[in-house]
Amino acid sequence: MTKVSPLLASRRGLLKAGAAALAAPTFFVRNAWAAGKTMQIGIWGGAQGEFIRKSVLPGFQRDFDCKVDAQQGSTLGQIGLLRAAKEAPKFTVMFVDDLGVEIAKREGLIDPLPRDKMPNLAKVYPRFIYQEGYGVALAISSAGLFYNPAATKPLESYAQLWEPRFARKISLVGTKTTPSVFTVIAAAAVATGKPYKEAQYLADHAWPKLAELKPNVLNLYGTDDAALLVAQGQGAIGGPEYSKYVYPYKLKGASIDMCFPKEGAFAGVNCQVLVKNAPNADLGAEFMNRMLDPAIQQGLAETALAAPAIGGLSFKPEIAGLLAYPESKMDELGLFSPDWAHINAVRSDWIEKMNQIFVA
Amino acid sequence: MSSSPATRNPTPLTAALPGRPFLPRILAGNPVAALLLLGPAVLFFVAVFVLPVGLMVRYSFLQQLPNGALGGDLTLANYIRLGAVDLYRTVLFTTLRISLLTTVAAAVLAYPLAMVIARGPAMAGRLLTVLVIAPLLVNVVVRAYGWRIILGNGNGGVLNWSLAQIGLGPVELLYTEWAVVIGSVQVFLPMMTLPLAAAIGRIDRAVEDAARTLGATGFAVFRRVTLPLSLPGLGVGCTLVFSLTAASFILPALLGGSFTKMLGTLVEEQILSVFDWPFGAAIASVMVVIVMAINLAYMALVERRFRSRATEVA
Repeated sequence: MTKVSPLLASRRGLLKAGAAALAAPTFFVRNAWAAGKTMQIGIWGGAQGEFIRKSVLPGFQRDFDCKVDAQQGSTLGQIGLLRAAKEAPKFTVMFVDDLGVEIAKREGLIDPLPRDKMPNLAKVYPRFIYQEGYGVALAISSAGLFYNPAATKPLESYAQLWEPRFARKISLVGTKTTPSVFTVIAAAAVATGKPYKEAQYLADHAWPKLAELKPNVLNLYGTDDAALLVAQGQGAIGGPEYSKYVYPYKLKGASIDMCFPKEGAFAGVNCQVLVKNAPNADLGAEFMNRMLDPAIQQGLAETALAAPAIGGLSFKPEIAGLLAYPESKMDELGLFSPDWAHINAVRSDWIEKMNQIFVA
Repeated sequence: MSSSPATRNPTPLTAALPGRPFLPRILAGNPVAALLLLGPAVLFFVAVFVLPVGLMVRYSFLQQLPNGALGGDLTLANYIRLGAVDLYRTVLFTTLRISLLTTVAAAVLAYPLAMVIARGPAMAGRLLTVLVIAPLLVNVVVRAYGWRIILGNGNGGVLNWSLAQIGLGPVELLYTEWAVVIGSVQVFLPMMTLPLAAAIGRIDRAVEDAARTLGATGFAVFRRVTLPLSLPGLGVGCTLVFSLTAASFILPALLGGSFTKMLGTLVEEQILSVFDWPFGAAIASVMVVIVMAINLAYMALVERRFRSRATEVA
């Protein structure tokens, strides 16, 4: 093994430092317009939030000599913040799920993405630019069923959930979280035999079907650890749930896996939007462009085990197997994004109906 | 039988609170001092309770407009929906049932603890007080997860595993109302025990000794003397436990598995998932009114009972 002399190493280091020092003024001059500015953004919690705090923000703040205050929250919570400050916006960039992009646009809370200031938008798969350019995806989770391989085989169809062998063995997603609407759509698809695209408008057929499912339901969960409980023997199967809440347990060796029945997988899309009349909108555009940078997209995907929104990336086999990526694999899974304009309008009724069915 | 002055003017419930004789003297003698002393607490109460509740009641008569704003004409639509859909009546009765069961169970468990704290050896009393208070240092969510492990269905649960070892079970407790009651009793037990211990500690031992001297058994002393005279503490404990249980949403969510929904869970759902603040506010307003009415009725009942028992004892 070749040893590097400390003197040589320090000389190389010195040369590198010198080169960086020479380049720095050019870089900082280029971004001098942002120096000293402070920007407030809303991000997600969990592994994705941690990645942004540790691996994105420090570099961005250094490159633009600015300060970014990041506040964690959920989609509807973030929308609430935007509503509260609609007249005098405080946030510049907000991370919301795809359902939130529709709400935010409808309520006039966001501006179109500034394409001219976001060159990385050209790398994004067109299907992940939402609401005529008001929101862009950053990470895509695929939602399906999670199951304990020691208790059951993967399901080929959602219709199998109604079989007697699953009596009190299904941990169904509760009404509080977004995937509960996938339950309704899947039930409507089973009841009518129609694809999700049509079934999402046929919820009336879902209610009697869901009532028939009740004897098989062990609980309606509302926490992110439901997959772990199934892995520990609390039920045999559960969901629908986003892959990002299941695969981390699988990677750690828990007895859990996911299946995507033939009716198709649901897409859970984490997006970013630019707040309407946002302070420091230019800096916000730079930040959103940075989030679509290939290196950031790669890191975010590997951290959250959610597919990136841009093309051209490659992953280690153990990670690649867990991602709905590239685009051809998304098509194979039948990755489906609901019509959120419709779902958001009826969601309150859907929650009420589900509660009527399942609450004792 | 001639009645003593104490009999003619039985001590009100609030007189059982520590420091009662001292504070009123100051307040009666110096109104300015009274205002200065009470002012901050009243302001705090108005700021963190009266105003928010007023705002909440106002929201409950508004509508969530399509643009996300709260507004429109004042309407009773949210209350009509609450009355018209049977789901909300079911949830209301579930909430009241769970709160009542929790309160009764907590009272039954708290009396022996309070007796030892108030009447046992000093060291045992201190130790028990620490043991009763210690769980308060642990977050409710953590405790709920602990109960999930204990009550887990199948052999994965500690309780079922233990029952299986002695040839019993299994029992299905997790994701039922009983799981919520068990978790709530554990979480809110200190709120029952401490006021009870304080009330029992203020009972003149001579009264109990007199009953024993007259031949009363231990149970009779408790039933005829200790229980009636500790009613003020029981009233405070019941109010706290009932109100806190009725408003809780973490325990029903984690232990009830959404089959057992309570009003608090519905409020959380309407505010955070549906973003229908007016309907969420209507549910919360109904919850506040019902819980307050039940508490007031209960306090009145206990006070009347206490007065009559105090009269009998005197």
